[in-house]
Amino acid sequence: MKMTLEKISPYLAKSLEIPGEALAQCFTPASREDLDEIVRFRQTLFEGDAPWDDKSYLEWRYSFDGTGAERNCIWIFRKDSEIIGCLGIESVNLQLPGTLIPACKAMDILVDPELDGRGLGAWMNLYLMSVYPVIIVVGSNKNSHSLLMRLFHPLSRTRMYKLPVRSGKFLQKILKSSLLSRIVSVPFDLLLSARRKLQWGRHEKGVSIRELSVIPPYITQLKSGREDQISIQRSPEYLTWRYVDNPRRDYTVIGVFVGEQLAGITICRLFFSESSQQLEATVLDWFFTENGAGINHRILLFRECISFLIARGVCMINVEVYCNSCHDDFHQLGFIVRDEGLPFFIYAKDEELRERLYDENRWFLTEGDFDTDMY
Amino acid sequence: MSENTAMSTSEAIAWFAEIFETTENEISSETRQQDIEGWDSMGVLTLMAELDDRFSINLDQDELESISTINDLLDVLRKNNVLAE
Repeated sequence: MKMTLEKISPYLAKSLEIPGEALAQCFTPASREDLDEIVRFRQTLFEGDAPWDDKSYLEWRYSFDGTGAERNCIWIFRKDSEIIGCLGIESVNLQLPGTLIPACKAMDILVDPELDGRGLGAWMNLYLMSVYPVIIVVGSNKNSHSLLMRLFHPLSRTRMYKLPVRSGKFLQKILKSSLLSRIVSVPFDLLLSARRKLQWGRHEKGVSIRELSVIPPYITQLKSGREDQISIQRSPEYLTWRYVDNPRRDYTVIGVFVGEQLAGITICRLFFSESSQQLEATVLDWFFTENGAGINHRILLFRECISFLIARGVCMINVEVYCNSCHDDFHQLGFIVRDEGLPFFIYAKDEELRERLYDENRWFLTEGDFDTDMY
Repeated sequence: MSENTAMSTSEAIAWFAEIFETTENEISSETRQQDIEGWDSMGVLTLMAELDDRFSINLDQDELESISTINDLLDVLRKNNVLAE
């Protein structure tokens, strides 16, 4: 039974005890005056204090002109002047072969838990479908997946790859002895290192690696996936905003050079994993030059990036990607497929566009496309 | 549009299965709300809309909150004389 905004609106209004005709007026793009109240609302919903400055985060991510005309905005739902729900929108361009399609990412959806089960979350999503012609959901929690699957078109999940480079903590868990694991991990790590060398083959000469403090403007000349796939457009401005100016997370931008020529960059996050109790890294985005002289530049880039991360003391390297054509390269680099990762949902108003966008084999997404700053 | 034809228990269960986007085999009169994935906030709104549309049954918030099983829903139909015994 397909539900529409028109059909469910009277019942949500009844459930929230709001006059039906006033429902749409309760849901508006936030203005600057709403900011402090949004911060308070979000704070009540987080378990404990957010480990980031949430006001700075919101100011960075969204504009607050109250019209929704700006690139990114947060919509708020008010009942009796109190905020009871919010949903963030980030405008992006989808890059299809030969064309760009404006779309938006939906994220940061929150509903007052006292009103849980009334349908406000579903209604806010349906309302935005009447405003924005293409919506992708890249930030969702497990509890909302069933609902999102019915509101949006679900595509399959990202594939999660892991590259173990140091075994100490892992062995400690199994052997339950710190001393024994330290002894056993030495030959084990040597084996991991030998395996990498064997899989990687010869080392190109003249390759160097540097941490970069800015995103190079010529990033647009590099590529990240297959050009015949659908991806979210990157620009130097977008990447600088997303990774360099981000107040919620610190990212590391690594440049790989062949001679003085930039061969590619990766964007990584180093973090102490609470579950594995070790330093891990996630590679969120990567860009590389065209392959040349028989060298696969994606492999060259990752190989150098991995060496850089190992030198930093990283024990595990993670990559999450939505790209079937990347699998062979990651396998060659020694990554193992662990689990299915993040889910991804899409809505397109236009039927012709749906045919193109709802084909999961055409997409290329990296973890950088997902709302993973909070993890 | 209101439809006054009474339905049998099995027809009612099949109808609830359709509302909650599951199959008849997955639910019985004993099935609880938390055991049906589609009986979430969207499912509740769909249920309200369908009950109103088909039988002009308008549930208020208190009634909705007291419903936790398929049997409770069958009781709603019984109370409104739309369930053939």
